[in-house]
Amino acid sequence: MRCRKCGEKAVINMRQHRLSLCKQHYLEWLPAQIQKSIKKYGMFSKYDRILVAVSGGKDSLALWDILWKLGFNTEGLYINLGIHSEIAYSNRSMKFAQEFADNRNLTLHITDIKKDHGESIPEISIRTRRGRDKPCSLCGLIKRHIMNRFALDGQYNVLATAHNLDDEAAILLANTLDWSLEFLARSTPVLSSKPGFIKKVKPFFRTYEREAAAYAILNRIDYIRDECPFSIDSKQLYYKKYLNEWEETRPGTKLRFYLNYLKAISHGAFPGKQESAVQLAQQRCPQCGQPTNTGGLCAFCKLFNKT
Amino acid sequence: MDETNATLLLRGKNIMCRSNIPLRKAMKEKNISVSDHLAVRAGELITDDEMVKTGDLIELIPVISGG
Repeated sequence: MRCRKCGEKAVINMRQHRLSLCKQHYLEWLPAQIQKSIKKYGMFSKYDRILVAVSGGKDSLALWDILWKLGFNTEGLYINLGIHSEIAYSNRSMKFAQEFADNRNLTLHITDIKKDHGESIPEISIRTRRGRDKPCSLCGLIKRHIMNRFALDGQYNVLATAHNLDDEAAILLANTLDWSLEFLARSTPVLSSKPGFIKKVKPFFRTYEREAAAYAILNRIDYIRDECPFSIDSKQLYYKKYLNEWEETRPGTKLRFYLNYLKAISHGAFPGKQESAVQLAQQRCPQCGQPTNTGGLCAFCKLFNKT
Repeated sequence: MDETNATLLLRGKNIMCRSNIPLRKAMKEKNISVSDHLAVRAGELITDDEMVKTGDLIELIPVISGG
């Protein structure tokens, strides 16, 4: 297979785009695509301070690398979840994130939930019913809370996460199967800032997971290749595998699914639902001051409140 | 022609496969999803239409992660 731009040997074939590219042209193509998405959706500009959520995995390191090369003002945030399994998952992924930042002279902030809140993800998962049933959902809640608070306290303008197209399509499929209207209304690449909420953006929302991985490999970015031990058998992985089976026979299925969802949103699908979720969260948690929709402690503080 | 004389390396495990067939076919024969993996041979990323050669060691890198 040959590069469509120069005729050299291709390193990647993107059947969904009917495009194969050599290393050089792929490493130019992907950042250009990301830059287009950032501009089209008004995600941020060169004047913004951007906090990039970094896990040590391929997606977040690839995103940070691209934003850095595009000249954006970025700092990283790594959350150590205390997952010290046989593969020392958290400490190893932290090491990858730190080495990435050091090699580029970038600032990486590290928070540690065990040190800051007294318990690690495995410990909370054992103690709470929610953790035993759905550790990934609990982990997501904790990360969203910490990222939001850190970004607001640090007076960043925007929080960038490396959710890719496979992530978004899997979430969209799950929420469609459940008819979770509020979540369906909020699966967009940009969530604007509201009182108590930092602006959140997903510059990789059109990027296939294999495209992000290819970018990391071609740039020789070292990242943690092991799967989080808690995510094995997760619902998201299950949906991703199904979507990829469809993708094999019908290339572009994931892209069409998500882009047509965005089109439906822009044509007024789920009216009022996006705002209602924010309006519900106008009360403040008496312990941490973050928005909550319960009137009492927020879900994060409840989780760590053992009494 | 059923000789298995090339190796696919996936998550630290060696999987013997046929050579002189496209990588895509070799992966399908071993029930490995093409969409879920990238392939690296001799340190270089390769596309799935590349022919598997006798004695090849091709690392398959999973690209799908959850959580």
